[in-house]
Amino acid sequence: MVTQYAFFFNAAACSGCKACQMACKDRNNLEPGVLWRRVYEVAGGGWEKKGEVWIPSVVAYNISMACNHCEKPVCGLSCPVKAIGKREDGIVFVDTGACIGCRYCEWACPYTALRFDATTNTVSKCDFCYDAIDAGGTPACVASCPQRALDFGDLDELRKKYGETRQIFPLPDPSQTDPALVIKPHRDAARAVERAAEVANWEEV
Amino acid sequence: MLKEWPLVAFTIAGQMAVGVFLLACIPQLMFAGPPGNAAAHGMRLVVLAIVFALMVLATAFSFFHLHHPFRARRVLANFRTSWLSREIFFEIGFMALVALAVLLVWTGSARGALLKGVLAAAGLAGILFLLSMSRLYMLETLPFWNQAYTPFIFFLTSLSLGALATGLILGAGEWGPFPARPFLILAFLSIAAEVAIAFFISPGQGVFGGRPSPSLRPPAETPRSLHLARLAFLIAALVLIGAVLMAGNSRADHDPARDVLLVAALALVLAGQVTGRFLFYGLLTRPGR
Repeated sequence: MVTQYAFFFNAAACSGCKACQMACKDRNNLEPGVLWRRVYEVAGGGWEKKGEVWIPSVVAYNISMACNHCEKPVCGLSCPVKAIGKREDGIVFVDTGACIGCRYCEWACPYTALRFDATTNTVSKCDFCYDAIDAGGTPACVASCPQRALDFGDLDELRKKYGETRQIFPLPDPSQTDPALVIKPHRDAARAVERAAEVANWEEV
Repeated sequence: MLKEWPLVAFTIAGQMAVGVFLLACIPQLMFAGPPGNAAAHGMRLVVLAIVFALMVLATAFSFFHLHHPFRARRVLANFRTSWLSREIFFEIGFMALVALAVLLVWTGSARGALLKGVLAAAGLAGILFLLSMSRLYMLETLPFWNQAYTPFIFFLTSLSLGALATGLILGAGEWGPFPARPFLILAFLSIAAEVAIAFFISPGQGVFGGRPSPSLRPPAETPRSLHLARLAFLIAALVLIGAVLMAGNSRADHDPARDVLLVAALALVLAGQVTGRFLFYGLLTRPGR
């Protein structure tokens, strides 16, 4: 039995096509401006002079990020009305019928997973496509990825399969929330800080 | 940034209410003995009524922040882990105890020990209200707010507005045995401390464009000019309070011009607090809508 569902993201394979983002919007009927899964384009660097030669020192990669269904969900711990719960299989969900729309969870989540939905006047977020999961299916984002850069499953199994990494630039310190996330880093991620990389598409995420 | 106005208004009104209560009500009602005359009795009622009115205002403002205010009856449900629940619990407790104190003083049914007990409990609830209000922003996941700056500024807002309002109230009439001057000095010192903190600590808070890194939060949208406006308002208030203090203010030579200066100073401090609070909330942009 799964005790903690998790996502795996292969940054080395992601092309930034945003099919996962669109599949999520489509499946969950999300209004414009509400994104439960987002693709961050991380870019930095420029030109570097080595001797008499200028060479490019660019770093560029993508991060596809949704709710990480944290083992220590700070959103739920902060919610004053207990509108955010965690299922036995680890999926963190929002009870929109109980949410008062104070938006405190939006601040609390370091992954900015909680998004305000103006149609319901509540926060909303990735629910891991739990109805599909319960029926033995696959989350829409995972199913849509043409590069197979996303996977899902039990956190322990994913760790055995892909390793223990759960943070690359610019993701926050994972000790804050214990995200159920496994990442295969892009090779540029190790040089992102020294090359002053930054998210390049804030308008889109 | 401007959409956070209900929180700006709620926090400032709530902090001012606690400040006025701790500085005006506690000394007047706990240590001044039974009211010797109608004026002293009136003053006590006026101060308590001001505190209660500020709390009613603060609560009203806070409802504008909620998108489903009618569901707010469950807001204490997560007292065990949510600082927001705790803040509201202490807010309600403080307000209820102040209301009880108003009732006791108004009906004249206040027996010394009962009133003092209610006031002490209200004072404690007020302090816990301020503490939980600071603490709710000091999450590990919010590095901009998870600093000593947050409680410092919240308590200084309470002190400066509370002391200035108390000085105004005490100076405006022949109320009782407490002169206004010490409160004006306290207001001056707390505003000066806030200017110093705003000047020296705020840059590390991201006022000059810094951002904790790494982060998935968008860059702050706060205009830098707000920081300068806040400093200008507070320094102008310091000048006015300083002028009043230099001119001397014994109650015997009560001067209406002095009251005008103090009202202007209070308006300037409020303006400084409002700009400072917008700055505070503007540091953390919510992505999306």
